This record gives sequence, structure tokens and C-alpha cells, in this order.
Amino acid sequence: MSITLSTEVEAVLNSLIKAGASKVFTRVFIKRRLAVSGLFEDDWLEITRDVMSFGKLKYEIDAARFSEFRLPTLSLKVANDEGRFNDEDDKNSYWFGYASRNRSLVRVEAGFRKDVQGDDGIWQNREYPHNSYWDQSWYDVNDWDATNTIFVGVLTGDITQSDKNIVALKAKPLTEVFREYSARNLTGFDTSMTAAKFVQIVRDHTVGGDYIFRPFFGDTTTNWSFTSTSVIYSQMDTNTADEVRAKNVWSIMTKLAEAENHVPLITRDGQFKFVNRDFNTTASYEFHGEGSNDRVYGRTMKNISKYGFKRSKYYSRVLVKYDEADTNTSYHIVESTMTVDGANNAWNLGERTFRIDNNWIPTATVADDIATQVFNDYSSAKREIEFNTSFIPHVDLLDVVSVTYDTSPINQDSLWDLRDWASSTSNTVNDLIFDDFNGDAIKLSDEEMRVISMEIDLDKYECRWTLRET
Amino acid sequence: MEILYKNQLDTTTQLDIASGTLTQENIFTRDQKMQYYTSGYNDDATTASITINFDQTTSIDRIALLETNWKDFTVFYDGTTANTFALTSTGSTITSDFSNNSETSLYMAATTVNCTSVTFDILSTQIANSEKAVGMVVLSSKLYDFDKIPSSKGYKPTIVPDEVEHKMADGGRRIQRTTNKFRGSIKLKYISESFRNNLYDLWNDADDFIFVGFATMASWDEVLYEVVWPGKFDFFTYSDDAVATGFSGTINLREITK
Repeated sequence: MSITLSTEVEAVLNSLIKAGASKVFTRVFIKRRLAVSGLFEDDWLEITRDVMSFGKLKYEIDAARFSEFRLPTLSLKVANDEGRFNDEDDKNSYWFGYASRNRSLVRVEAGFRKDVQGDDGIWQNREYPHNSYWDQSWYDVNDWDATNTIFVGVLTGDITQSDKNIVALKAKPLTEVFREYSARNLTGFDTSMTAAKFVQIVRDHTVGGDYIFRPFFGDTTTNWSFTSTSVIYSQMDTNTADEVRAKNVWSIMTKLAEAENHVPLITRDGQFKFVNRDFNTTASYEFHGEGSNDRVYGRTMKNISKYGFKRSKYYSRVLVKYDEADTNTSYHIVESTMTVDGANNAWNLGERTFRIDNNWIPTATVADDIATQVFNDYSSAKREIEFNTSFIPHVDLLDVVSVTYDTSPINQDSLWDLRDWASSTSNTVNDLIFDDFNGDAIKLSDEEMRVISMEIDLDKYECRWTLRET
Repeated sequence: MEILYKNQLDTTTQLDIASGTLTQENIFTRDQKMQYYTSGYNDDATTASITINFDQTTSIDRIALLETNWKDFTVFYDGTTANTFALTSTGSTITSDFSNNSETSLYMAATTVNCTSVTFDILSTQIANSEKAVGMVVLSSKLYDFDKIPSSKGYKPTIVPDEVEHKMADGGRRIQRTTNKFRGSIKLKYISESFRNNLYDLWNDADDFIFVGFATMASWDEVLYEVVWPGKFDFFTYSDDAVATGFSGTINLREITK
């Protein structure tokens, strides 16, 4: 899930994140639909100058359901003194001559700006994570190209005006276009329907020869990624099947994802993915807080609001019901054995059951895979931490990061005298060095954790993270 | 001190440039570190041109260049190189034809010209053979002149950053800044009734305009900002007990969003 950065870009970005002073930016763009064809215009129109408040973006995983991403809704507050956000009948409106404001695309970019003056005296404005100076994506698609885009969505809901000349715009994630469309109106169902095939018929779905979903994803198949799957879902052989006719496209996708042990998600730059849950195994970023002095990442943690073992996410048993009949063979259960033992979690914490009901799960083997994966993650006593940092634009959900906080006592191998009265030539155990406790009783030393929630406050340039032990 | 009409260069569609389209947006921004610069014109023997076209005949008598590296350049109107502007401000030349400019910012006051386009032909740069760069171009005309300038106590030009200040865990601070904006107040006393009426019209129009501090052709402090006047108008206040002493009040200025 993480953004791929070149070594050079990552080094500069880290230096900007930790800098005492730096320049940041947030930009907002819209893409309207043409009045006649109903298709999106070619170029994005920047509306940043009208924005009074950008709001927050919150990404979560496993919040409502295992492996389900919860994508953010953007709430923009824009100035409407000149009527630019009036409806399309008003000639002052951005939408005059275009189709409805609803379902217009909204894109948000955010990052750091670094101004560098060359030998010729000219200022170059370089942006990070996407370095627009030397690696411009419009002619170069190297895999280290990053993006400044942190959200793509569609305008939705009631757009009303008031005598304050302020308009609240709400943009929902692109999953909304799937949620609003009934699966029974898709075409291409047959007796060989796999999960990948379902995603493909969604991608290629047309009405009257026009694509229904592709225009929201850059009007290209490049922005659709899905791995092939082999299990055939007989429940989806026609569009009038019980499991199809009353469901929307998104609910089928999430159910298929659970059955396949996949995740359906929209990346922050608006690409659709239906892929294996991608676990990074090495730390991609380091968070440092009070008492930790790191020269590469700096100290970014502001305050820790919660830290500790997450009892509410402890489960001693995972029960997967993968067949409709309520018989013993319809269940697959992975559980801890309870013993009266001071080291036994089920005894110490009590038995708790995590239940997954999905009759699309094809076999006991897949049910076992799912149950085992959930069990491995939730059956041990894992800690979670919630904290705020200054602006960090490139760390993503499911990234593995490390956290270091309050590393006291002081490292006695320091090259420098740690106190005025210390030896001038060396640090020895005879030096008078106090244990330098900082912060509170939390002490984390290079703890590897995984990002399960992140919230970016675009007005305060502050990030709020929830991490879970790996 | 002067008040100018808003910048006649307002959209990229007015611009006719041979290169550097990726940075052409920068020509509208007041940020000194965001410059428009040419691409492939880093040769003092190669002329780069920038033409600004107007929809209709437009009066121009003020031209400002900020953060530029132009050395040998000519400014002319209506596409004819001989149509240079006659400069009324004191500088190295009396027409808008510069052969050895060393200033990075210039404010040119000129005899009014009614034209449909203004062109900059740039030949050489102050550091030889560099791309031709400029931070901002202003084409305008004078709206009002100040018949009295304020005392130093009454003139408060301020640059206010839009930034967030993070209080870190160790009590240290980290700032992250988006933009800098001009904020000014000008307290005037004993101004004439006619100037007061001009100021009232300016305030009452509720439109943006350009404020220029102490503009010069050389060593200019670059106090030129596109601003609005928010809040009250208080110049109906008499300066003293005699009507003839004139009027007192304060002009509040806030830079506009771009």
C-alpha cells in the first residue's frame, strides 16, 4: 500500500518532515461532466483559491469488518461570494454549461514544497512526495514516481447555499459509484463467474456503448488492478439470482473479497484494486517521540493519546460459517485451548469469539485460511497506540513502521559530554549521569507496528495515527 | 504611494509565450520564489518574448517586474518594437528599452498608452546565458495618488504567514507554512476632501486594487500588493476643530487570494 519513493526523494522528504520550518501545500481540483455527452472534461480545474477549510481525511482498515477499508469523506467549506458553486443554471457557476455538480470528481493534493535557487539565480519549486522537478510523470512513468494526490472522490449529497456565502461540499470516495449502482443492471453474468470476472464485468460495463464506471477512474483500464481468481460462484450465474438482484455492486465486491481473502480498495490517487491483502514486512518509516533523537526521521510525535493492550480486539476463537446450512460441517473454527495457566490468554482474558458469516467462501480450505489469518492477528495480546504527529504525507495504511519513544537512560557511548561535570575525554560509568526520563511511563524502543488508521487534518497539517503491533 | 487598478494580466489565456508553459502560472503569484522561466533560451544571443494580450484597448501607465534576471530587454506595445513606453520615473533609461539592467525588481511609471497588447523582448540575463526568469509581471494604470503620505508611525506594512505551529512532545516548535500574505494599515491625517472622496470611492467599490508603497526604478522595496480594503471607512473624521484641517482615518489592506 505504501508509496514507492526513490532514495533521493525519500531523503529530501524526510528532511522536510523533520525540519524546524518547511513549506506545505494543499490543492483541490474538480472535474466536471460535459452537458451534452455527460463525460468528464479532460483537465482538472483547480478551486483551491475558493477553499476556506479543507477538513480531514481518515483512512481505516478492519474498522467495521475484517479486511474492509473505510475510506474518507471529504468535507470542504468553500467561499461562494461570486456564485462559483451555484448550480449549473447560474452563469457565474463553475458548472455553467456543464452537467450537474453532483458526481463531479474531486481531487486533493498535499505535500511539501522546497524552493532551490540554482547557480543561474532562478528558483526551482520542487514538490514532495512527487518531485515535479526532475522526474515529471507526464513523460516518465518510472516505478519510483510518487504522487501528491491523497484523495479522489465524487461530489455527493445536498449542495445548498446560505446567506453566509459559504457552501459545504461533501465528496465521498469512489466506492460510492459502486454503492449507488444495482448489481442486477450489470451484464455478463454466466455459470463461470469468478471474483476476478465479476470485477472485470464491472470495469467493462457499458450502457448504450458508454462505460459506466471507467470514467471515474481516469477512463482507462490501467487504473484497475485485480489478480486472477479461480473459484466459481454459482450464486452469481445470472443478474436475477438471489445473491445478486437486491445487492449493489460494492456489497458484492466486499463479500467476494472476504470469500477470496482479498481486499477491495481505492488507492489515495484514485485507482481501484482487488488484490491480496498486501503485508509489508519491513519498516518503511520510523516515528520518534520524546527522548528519541534520530537524525534521519527527526522527532515527529507530538502526543500519545492512547497506548496499551487492546482487549476489545482480542479473540480466542475465530468461527467462519461458510455454508448456508446450520450444520457442523458449515463451520470452520480456529481457537485457543483454554488451560488454567497464568500464561494462557484464553484463561487470563476470557474466551471471545470473532464470527464471519459468508456462504460464498467456497471450500473448507479457504475458510481455514481466513480463520487462521484472523486468528493469528487477534488471538495474541497485541498493543495499539494512537498518537499525533506533524504532517507526514506519504505513509499509508498497512505500512509497517517503527516507533521509538523515551529511550532513557541516556546512551553512555555518546561522543559528547552529557553533563558539564562529565569527563572531558571519555564517558565512563564514573560520570555523573542521571537516568533522563522524559514524557510519561511509556517506553518504546524501535517497536515494529502496522498502520491501521490514519487521519490527515489538512487545515492543521497534523496527522493522527493508530498503529497495531505486527 | 499609489493606488493602481487591478492587474490587467489576469489569466494564462492572455499570455503568448514561446516556452516555459509549465511555470507560466508563477507569473501571477506574489511569492518571490515562484518564478516563470523560459525553457531552452539560456543563451544571451537568443531573444525570448512574452506578449500579454488584452480583450479590448486598455490604458497602461504602470509596469512592474518582480524577481527578474533580465538585463537587456525591451517593453513595447501593440506588437511594434518601436512602440516603447516613455518612462516618467527616474532610472537608467527614459524609455522602456533596457540594455544593462541590474535591478531584480523595477517599477516603471510611464506616459499613458492605450493599447491592445504589451510585449517583453528579453535578450540577455544578469548572469550570462541563463534562462529568462521573472517572478511577477504587473500591467496597470494609476487610480489614485496619495496627496499626503503617512508618518512612519502610521504606516504598518506587514507580511503575515499562513502557517501552523506544532508544539512537539519536548516543547519544541515546528512550523509548516503555506503562504505569506501582505497586511497593511495606513493612518492618514489632514487629508483633503477630494482625496477623502477618492478613498471613499475606493472603499465603496468593494473591489480589489493594487497598493504600491514607495516605488522606484532602483533598489525598490517591492511593496506592491493586490489587496482589498476590509472593514470600516472612518475618513469622515475631522483632524481638528477646524473644518479646513482636513480628515483623518485608517486604510486597512489585506492581500487577496490568488
